[in-house]
Amino acid sequence: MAELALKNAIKRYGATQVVHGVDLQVDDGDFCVFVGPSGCGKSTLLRMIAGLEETSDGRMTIGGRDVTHADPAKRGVAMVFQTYALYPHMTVRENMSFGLKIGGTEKSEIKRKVDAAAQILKLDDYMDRKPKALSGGQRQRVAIGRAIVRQPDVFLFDEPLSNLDAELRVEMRVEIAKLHKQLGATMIYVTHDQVEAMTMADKIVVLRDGRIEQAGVPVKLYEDPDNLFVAGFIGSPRMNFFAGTVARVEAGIAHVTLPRLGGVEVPVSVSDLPAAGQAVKLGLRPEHFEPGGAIQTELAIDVIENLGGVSYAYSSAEGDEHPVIVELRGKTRPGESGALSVAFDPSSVLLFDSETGQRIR
Amino acid sequence: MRARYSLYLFTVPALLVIGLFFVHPIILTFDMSLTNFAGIGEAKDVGWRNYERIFGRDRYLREIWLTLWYTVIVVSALTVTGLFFAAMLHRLPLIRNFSRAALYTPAMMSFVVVGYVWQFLYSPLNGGINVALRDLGLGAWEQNWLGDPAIALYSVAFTQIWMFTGFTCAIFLAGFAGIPEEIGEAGRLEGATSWQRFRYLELPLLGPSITVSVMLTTIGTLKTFELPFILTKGGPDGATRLLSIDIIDNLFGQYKFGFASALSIVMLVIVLIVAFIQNKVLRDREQA
Repeated sequence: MAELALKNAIKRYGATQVVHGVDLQVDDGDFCVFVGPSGCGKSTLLRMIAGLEETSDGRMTIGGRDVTHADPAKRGVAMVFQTYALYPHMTVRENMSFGLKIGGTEKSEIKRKVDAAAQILKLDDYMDRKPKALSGGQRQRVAIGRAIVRQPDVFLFDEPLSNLDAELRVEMRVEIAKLHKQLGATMIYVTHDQVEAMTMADKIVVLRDGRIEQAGVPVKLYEDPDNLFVAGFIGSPRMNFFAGTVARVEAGIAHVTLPRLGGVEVPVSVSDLPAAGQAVKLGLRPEHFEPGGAIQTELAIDVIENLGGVSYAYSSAEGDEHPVIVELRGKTRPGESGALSVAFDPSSVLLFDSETGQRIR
Repeated sequence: MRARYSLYLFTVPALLVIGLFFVHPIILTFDMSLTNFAGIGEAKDVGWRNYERIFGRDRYLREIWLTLWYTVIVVSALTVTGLFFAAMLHRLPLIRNFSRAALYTPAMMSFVVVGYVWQFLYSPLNGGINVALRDLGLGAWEQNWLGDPAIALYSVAFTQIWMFTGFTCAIFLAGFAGIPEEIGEAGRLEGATSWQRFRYLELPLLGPSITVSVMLTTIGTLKTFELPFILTKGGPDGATRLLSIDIIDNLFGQYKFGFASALSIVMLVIVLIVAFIQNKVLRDREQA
């Protein structure tokens, strides 16, 4: 077990820089999730930590040891690959023993460690099978088992659940979370699925184009995002954004008019006040539309999805990048499209600078 | 039911080609091997006499052993060198394509060209190899490469190995390309050295490529004729007289069509038996 620290970590392929000076601190025992859209550099960053990609510049320490240019095997990390990367010609037991065997660990010791890992992962009945005779979930467990027996300082997971079906994914998600509690190990987990990130992480790191957009505990990222990207990426369904203009600023309150919502004026309390006339974006999560809210307006609804406990109403208009989504709860939900009266409380909106995308707090 | 018949209908062209150009000539050859046909005149039926002669005389049994021994040398060396180069090039992606093409070039050359080039290199007085040895101060190692019965077979084998290493290397490189990169990466993370990754991860996963390579080179080498014919014509003192050389000699040298046919049938049976056993053994190994 150990903490991991990156200082200005940079990755270049020739002249192209793909990871731009990442600073990150993952505490001992943390479950840290790298999340971001495809091509954001999250897997590259994980592979740099694993040592499978050379770190072009910067410094990396695991448990205080400088491992920036250390051999992958000497970093004290173990990795679970998206494709599992099990050795197809070996049985489950051989797969899990391989690393210890070539490391010269004693046979009885190998057996003890492998059996212990098998028990944790409920693999006892499959030890003599080859990977091809296992289901996706079982293979995934073997891959995790192979990591566990090495007792690494840091576990690395590279989108480990994306090859599983939806049901199994939820199941394995819970199992990995349990495993983390049980082992208390530092884990770094890469995913593009923000639900996985929200449910599993102690700390989420949102990446875009090789830069950290924001890092922090899931709830903080959800409730208090630093910029438009994080606000839009975290949360499902995604946050609604409305383009607006600051009409006037009075007594520490910016009054923003929103053409998309029938020109309503929303008073937003921020300390770093924007200038009157400034273009801003106002963020509002679907669940923050509440019938009793102070701001009342109307939306033309095209589609309503009823998921049972909750419904989502979608309103599209010309020029919208994404439809406006309204979450509806309670017994008297409209079932059909048409004009819908909505309301929300000004305290639940977030304000962003249109130009820089940064949050105005 | 009609669908099922039409299914077989589609195999008719292939069956016709196989029947006409493979099975029929084999039957004709077998038929001829039971005669004393000399190319012209009447073919008199002699029963199994040609076969009795083949298995009754040391000379032919020795040729069969020589052919098998030559095959063992060439196939083992081709497999090892092909694997060696493929494993190296797999780890050197920058020069992989160029080196693969370069290694494969000898296999694209005509046997005649290769034969004459190596005949010059092996030539005892001013041949390239002996001159090179002399210039390097290794004059004591000079040999009469093709003239010494003790080493002629190995000299011929070396030429064949030189010629086809690129071929087996290409097969193994294709095999390496089929191994997911993550397997090697997982091995690296677990602390496996380059050699350990080759020995414990890549080699077992190359099973199917080894089967293909060994089968193809074995069949090709058992039938080989061109290089020994051009380099030594079976000499010196029969040291490189492989079965194929004797077939040609009987057929076009002595016009013993009947006997040459019997030798050909024997060779065919040997190739079939060896290929069958190899296929069985190698496939079983792959499954294990």
